[in-house]
Amino acid sequence: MTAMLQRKICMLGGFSVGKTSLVKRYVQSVFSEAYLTTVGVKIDKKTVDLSDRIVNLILWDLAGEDDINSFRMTNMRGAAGYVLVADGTRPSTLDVALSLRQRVEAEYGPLPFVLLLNKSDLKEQWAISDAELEGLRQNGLWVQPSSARTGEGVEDAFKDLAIRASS
Amino acid sequence: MQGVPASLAERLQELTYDERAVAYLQVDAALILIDAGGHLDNYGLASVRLGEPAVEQAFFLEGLLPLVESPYFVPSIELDCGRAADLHLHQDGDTAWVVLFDVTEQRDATRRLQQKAYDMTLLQEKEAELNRRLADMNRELEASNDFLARISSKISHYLAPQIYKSIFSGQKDVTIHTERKELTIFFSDIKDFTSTTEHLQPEEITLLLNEYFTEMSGVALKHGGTVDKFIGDALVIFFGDPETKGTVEDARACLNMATEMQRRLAELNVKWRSAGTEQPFRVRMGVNTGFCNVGNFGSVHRMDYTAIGAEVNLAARLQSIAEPGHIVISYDTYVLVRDIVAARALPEISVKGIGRMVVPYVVEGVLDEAGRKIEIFSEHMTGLDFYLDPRAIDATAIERIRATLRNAIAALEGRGGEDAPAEVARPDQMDPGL
Repeated sequence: MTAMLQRKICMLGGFSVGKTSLVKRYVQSVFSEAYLTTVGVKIDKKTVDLSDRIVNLILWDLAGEDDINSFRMTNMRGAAGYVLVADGTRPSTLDVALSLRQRVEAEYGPLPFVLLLNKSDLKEQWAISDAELEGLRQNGLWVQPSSARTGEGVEDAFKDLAIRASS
Repeated sequence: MQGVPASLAERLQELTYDERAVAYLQVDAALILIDAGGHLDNYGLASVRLGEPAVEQAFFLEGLLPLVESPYFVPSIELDCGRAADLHLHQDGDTAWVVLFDVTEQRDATRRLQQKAYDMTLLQEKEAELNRRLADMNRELEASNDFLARISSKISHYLAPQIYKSIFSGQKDVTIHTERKELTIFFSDIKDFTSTTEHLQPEEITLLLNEYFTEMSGVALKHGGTVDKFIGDALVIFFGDPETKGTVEDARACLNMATEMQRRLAELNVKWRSAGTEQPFRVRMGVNTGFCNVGNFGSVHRMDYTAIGAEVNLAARLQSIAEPGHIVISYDTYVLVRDIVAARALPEISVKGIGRMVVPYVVEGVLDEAGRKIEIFSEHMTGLDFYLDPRAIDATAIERIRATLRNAIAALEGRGGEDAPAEVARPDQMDPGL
């Protein structure tokens, strides 16, 4: 019998970067154009089969903040990992994601995380160069462009995080 | 609820419990659910089983138990069932209590407000981004405009300024197209240019010729002439297109230009001689007025803006019969400028393409406002640079000039017996400077 594990994973990032859409794509395989801001936390569950173990990811989709100082750090309590989300068409959201990571590490120490540069389908508005992406990777970050619309990079990111958060 | 009247305390409990759909769970140290109650169905928790692990049944508790801090509060948590709850946890001995308050309505109200604020911020971000792109595009546009300006400025040197202006302002189309217009055409040619310059290095000839053309073009522009072309050492200028002040004014402007060119050439000759160029430039000039075809000639690949026709050829012919240093004009021009120049008729000539006999006139001087002829003296050769324009002489200098001339004549007469020139320059060999 394979072991059944459960892990709390938080979605972190600025507002309107696509955290809720990424969860929806991952959990329900759907995408909606409508933007509906998240208030507080939205909780979802996704079961991942890692062949040697099954992991229930309890996804805490946290409200994005335009002011990262108002971010409720206590919501991270008990998280086994997190998904940092930035909007690749809005470079300022990458700064928000990176400073959220610093705050999380200061409070809870190093935790597994992935950084998704979302909205990769909006090629014409894309504002993050390959060189910047490479720079982030060289700093040891697990970073990948993603698209909640097309599903690009979504499954891989959560699976990778599930492996690291449950080992 | 100390100090609150019993009946009110009871009412408050009722209000809180029912209106906020309070539900609770109790979890022991082994994380087993040991009690549950209240409005559990409101949160999709109606079927929880006591005695079994709590976190597997209420998965939002994952990571929160055992409690690290007590009390612990998560505002507005949206559960699977779609309801939003404030989640309160606190430690009670070995057990932990989990209390849920329904805040779905407050959550929705907050969301409406928040949504508007974020939509606004996104619009502002978009606007800032569009402005940034606009600024980038403007910068690119400016750069390409600068480039075009530099290119067109280079091109401008290959065109008469009036032609350049009318093309670049969009007044003229760059198409094969000509018009019939009455123009005054000017031709000039340097007498014996080849033999005059044969002892010079090509670089020196280029410098001389460029300076000559630059100066003459400057004079032409000053008088409103369109510099048509340079042909070797010849210069073709016309008046009346693309800008015209009327046939009479165009012809007068042309003659004023021609006389000023002669003055300027005299000054240039002095300068060149002092720089070591022995032979002065002696220039013949011809002017005619008549109807020509003017416009773009050539092919779609290479065009010239120029004037053609028998009247243009006549101007060239008049130039060829002019004595060096003289201006020969046609009768058609003469009638337009007779109030500003004095001229003498020459024997009539026939010109191919012109059905009539042509009477050329040689310009002998300019007229002052009262119609009096003013002679200008100009002679340049080895040992002599002489240019006298009586109009330009200051009254206070006249006596000094007379004395200089007298001394000069005396000096020449003193040499007369020894090696006087075999031939004294006849007046018609002198440059009248006109």
